[in-house]
Amino acid sequence: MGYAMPKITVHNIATDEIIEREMTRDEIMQIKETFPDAFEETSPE
Amino acid sequence: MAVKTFTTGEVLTATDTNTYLNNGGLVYISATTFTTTATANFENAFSSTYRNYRAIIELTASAGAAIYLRLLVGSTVQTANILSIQNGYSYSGGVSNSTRSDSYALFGGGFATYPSVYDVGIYAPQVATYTTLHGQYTGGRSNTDSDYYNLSARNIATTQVDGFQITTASATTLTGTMRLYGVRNA
Repeated sequence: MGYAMPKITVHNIATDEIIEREMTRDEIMQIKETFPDAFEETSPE
Repeated sequence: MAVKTFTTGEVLTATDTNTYLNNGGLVYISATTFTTTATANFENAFSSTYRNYRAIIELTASAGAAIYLRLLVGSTVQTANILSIQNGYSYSGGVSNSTRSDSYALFGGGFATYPSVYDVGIYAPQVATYTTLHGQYTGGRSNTDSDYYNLSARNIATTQVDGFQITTASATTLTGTMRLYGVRNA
């Protein structure tokens, strides 16, 4: 079973554009660099 | 400007109206509603229009994990040159604690199963000087257990930041609204 990619909400306040998308691997790895245990609880094998 | 006192029968002019509409202390900038998201970015939020800002983040639900506020330049998270302290108290646990981090701006939460609020001031993000943040968090784990945190952080670099992010770091569900206000300079 693959990993369920967590969602990110991005609001560009200057243009008032809001998008929701899956987080990229780079974004997830950046968070994991700061929080090593990040996403372990919600990413099933 | 000084507060003007109107008297009975006085005509409210267009000039007076426009002056008072424009001279509120806090000026609404934007609101963002996010639903079951792991991370919410508020990009291009700060500009030269205001020196200082106030962000109120109301969480109606999260998956019960620590929540962090981090500064952005564009979409890039700032993890260097950050000094932050959170000092908090858990009601039922009777525990007060203080934690320092050098990689994120503000810690919050713990849990937001019940409605929880961050009230954060962001000072001089678009000035070529250090950015300072401080605020408070109050949230609930249950109807008998609450968390309270005082939050303080400095970005000890002159990098101008233009946005911020909240992330759960482990949970995948954050639901709530962020409202941003600019503080008028004069």
